[in-house]
Amino acid sequence: MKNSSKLLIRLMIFGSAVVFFALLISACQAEPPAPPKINLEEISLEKRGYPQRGLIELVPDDLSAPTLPENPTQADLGEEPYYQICLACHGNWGQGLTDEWRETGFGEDMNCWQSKCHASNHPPQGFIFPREVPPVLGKGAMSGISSADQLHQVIIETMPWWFPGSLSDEEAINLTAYIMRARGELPEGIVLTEDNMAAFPLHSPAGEIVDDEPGGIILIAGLSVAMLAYVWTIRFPDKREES
Amino acid sequence: MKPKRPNFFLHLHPPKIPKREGSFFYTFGLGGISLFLLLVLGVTGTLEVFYYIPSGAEANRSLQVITYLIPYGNLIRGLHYWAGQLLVGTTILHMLRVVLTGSYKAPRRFNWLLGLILLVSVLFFNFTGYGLRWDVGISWALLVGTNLLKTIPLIGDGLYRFLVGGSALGDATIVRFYGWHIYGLVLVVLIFGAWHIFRVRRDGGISARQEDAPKPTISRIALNEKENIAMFVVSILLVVLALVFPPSLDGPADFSNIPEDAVAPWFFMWVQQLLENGDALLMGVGLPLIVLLYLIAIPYLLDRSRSGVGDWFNREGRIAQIVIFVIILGMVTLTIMKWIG
Repeated sequence: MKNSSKLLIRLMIFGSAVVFFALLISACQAEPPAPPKINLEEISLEKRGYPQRGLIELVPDDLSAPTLPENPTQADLGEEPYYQICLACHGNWGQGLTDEWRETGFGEDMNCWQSKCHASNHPPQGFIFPREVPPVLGKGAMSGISSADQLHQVIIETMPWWFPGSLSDEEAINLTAYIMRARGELPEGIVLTEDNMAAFPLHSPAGEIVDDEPGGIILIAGLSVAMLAYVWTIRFPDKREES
Repeated sequence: MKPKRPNFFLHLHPPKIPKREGSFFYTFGLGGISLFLLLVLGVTGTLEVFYYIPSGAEANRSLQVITYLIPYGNLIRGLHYWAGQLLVGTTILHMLRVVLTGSYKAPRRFNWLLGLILLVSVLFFNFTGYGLRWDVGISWALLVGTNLLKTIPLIGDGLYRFLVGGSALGDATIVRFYGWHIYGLVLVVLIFGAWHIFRVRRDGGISARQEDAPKPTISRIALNEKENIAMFVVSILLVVLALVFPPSLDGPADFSNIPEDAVAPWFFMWVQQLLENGDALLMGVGLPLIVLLYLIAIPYLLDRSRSGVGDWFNREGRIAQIVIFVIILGMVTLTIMKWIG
């Protein structure tokens, strides 16, 4: 076999391997999606520090109702139940039941625990407000929960506070997706299901899901070309060497 | 020009191979392809070990991570899965070729036994590999497969505890399956595989017709070229299969709630069909053991002749050929019955 063609084949095999591993490495370098940009001028003094703590505005301060995009994703669908059910306690920045949120959310009625509101003598259709509600966003939030699966379990078993277990499965999954997306932990394009939820961790930024098809096709193409080149050199060996 | 020094891979081959038996349509390259598939399994398996966590709570989850999150994890898992599937096929077909060409006859009788050990190891490899998925889809086969051991008189319970690591499937089971899959069975296959290949050379190279006249031969370089092409073809096939038919993965196994329509992995379906039609000990343990005994008996009892080696469907090996056909036909029929039923 001609030395140059031998070298060519080796280069090709080596080259496809390099390309493949380069793809692998580049895939691992994918950066997590950047959190939405906040114009600090437009937000209240109390909230200036929120972005640094990893909180983002889920619902604007005027508390306008969310609108669904044309083709809503799971996370988009989770916005509605959050607004209707979770917002009151967990806040429009996912900050929890802070003084600041009670002021934004309830204005004059911000003293939730006064007699006959959300205190123990609440009206029949009402409920007691918890004194402390943990944040769902920001540093240290939900530290006891490690996966989408667990978050879903917590939501479906313990939420809402005043009527645990009343959420439908779908609502709970949509809410899980909504919270995880807000936290930057839901890889783009992923649809959470009962089966795959365990795979998505909290507290680590979501990498991009890598489609293995392009890399696989490059691999197939590389191998095919190398094989054809190899067969070619066997079929047409170099005459000089034989003599 | 300086003289060519054979490299390591050439050294593994005898300098000359009989032309007829060295051709693709004699061996179909099945032994060599099996070896290559084992190498692929070793490499892809090592990569999977980086992410797989062998514990009840984490096993299925870590596989989900490999499948959905790790870049190219699904491709690597697909390659591992398909190499394992193809390996079952190539080893069985290799055995069939050996029987049909009378290649098991003395002096290759012992190597036939080594081959059977490798075949059984490959099946165990597949079973433990499926078990490591620890998902709903495999829970039936895991439960039934391990419970079969309990039906064996005297040693059954001990054997069960040895394999499962307790009185029921659990964390310890995964660790044991993992241990066997990535270490124990690898050792068995390494040792017996190397021995098997060594014995091929030791027993006079590839089985060939005994003829007085000198036979045409090919050089090992020519053989090596064929092997390289076979490796290319198999590699491409594996990537295509892994991309087009990725292996399935369900949610974590729940042994208190096994789906009623559960189907065993394909190579286990014939046993499942047998189990549905009779006693667990007889059908699940007895019959497979009898099949194995028949296979062991081929060179020692069923065909002790030394002639007919290298001839397809040689007259002396009729009984052995009928036995292997009946076995394979039986397995295929039972598998199809299960598949359709």
